[in-house]
Amino acid sequence: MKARLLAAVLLILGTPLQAAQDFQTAPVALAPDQAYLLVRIGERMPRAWNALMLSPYDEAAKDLRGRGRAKGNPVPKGADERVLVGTGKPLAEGGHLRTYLVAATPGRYVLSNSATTCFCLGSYQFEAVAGRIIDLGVIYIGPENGSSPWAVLARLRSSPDIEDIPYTVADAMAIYPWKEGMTVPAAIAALPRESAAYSAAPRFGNHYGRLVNKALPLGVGK
Amino acid sequence: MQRVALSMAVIASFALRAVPAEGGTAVSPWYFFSQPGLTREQVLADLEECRDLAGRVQPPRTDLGIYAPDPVGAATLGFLEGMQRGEQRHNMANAAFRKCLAVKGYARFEMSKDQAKALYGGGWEVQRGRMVERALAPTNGMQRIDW
Repeated sequence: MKARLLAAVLLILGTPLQAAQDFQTAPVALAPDQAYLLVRIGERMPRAWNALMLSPYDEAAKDLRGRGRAKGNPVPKGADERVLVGTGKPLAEGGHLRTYLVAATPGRYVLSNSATTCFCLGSYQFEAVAGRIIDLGVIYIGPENGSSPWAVLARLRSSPDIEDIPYTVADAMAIYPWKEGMTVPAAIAALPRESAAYSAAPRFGNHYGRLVNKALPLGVGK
Repeated sequence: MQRVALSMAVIASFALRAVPAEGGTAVSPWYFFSQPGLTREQVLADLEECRDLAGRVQPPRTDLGIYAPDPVGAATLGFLEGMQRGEQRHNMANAAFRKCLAVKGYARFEMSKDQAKALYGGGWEVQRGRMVERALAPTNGMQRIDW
């Protein structure tokens, strides 16, 4: 059953061309030529989990590298063309959150897609620095139909005719940058870690053919 | 990814389905988009961007798991799956176009079927010009629809 679910998520998000590495146990040391992304993702529904895609971003062209307006700035061969978080096993789980640690090619990334939605009307970008763990904080994703278990998302609704057809309901995404009090798995607590320096990614193309939306303002409601 | 050319008549004038709102009133299947405070150039740019984003929408591929042992059965199955995907794409593109304009601050207002036909008839260049004029025009006394 789990394998089928994973297959479905991969089918929706697309199989990574260059797979980033998921960690189920903490690395002993950080490779100097790799960036490490630490992210806590909230439950989508009770016992159902989200997946998130991060894509290399061209800040000047305002598009995903190698695509659309940034076609002239492709991702180098061998580098991650996209990074999927939530499709592998988490490093830790608790409080309806899963914590993932993923190794990725250093560079600038945008939080680009959920399984159903491109946040191409506005999202957030950050620099994945080599040799460090970049802490992306907590991210909640859920459909805009009042069904999310998270209050910040549960109050978002769509038009009745949209909600009547579930596959037309876009996801919303709320991002809470790391701050004191957020849990860090003990196994990586001693490794170099810094909070993601988020800045707005005002737009990019819908290159994976998903529904569209804009991410909620950083730290909304807190 | 192949871009789907979507006519505004398809995207904007056909609602997904007319359903009763909470008060028991049916949501109008005919509507236009409005934001009178903008410039003509801005509305044009918004329409083009939203059309591009919505036009790229593709329904996820699904395997229905049905096997047809003969060519006629397989062709029929393929035809039906194609129809289903077409309807899904239409509904998703419609939703994406509406969401895009909502995020950009546009309001949706009811109109009659005849008004919709007049607004969304013809090719994109013609429709776009009419949609810009409609978006910038006053909406006094018209019925706003929730997104």
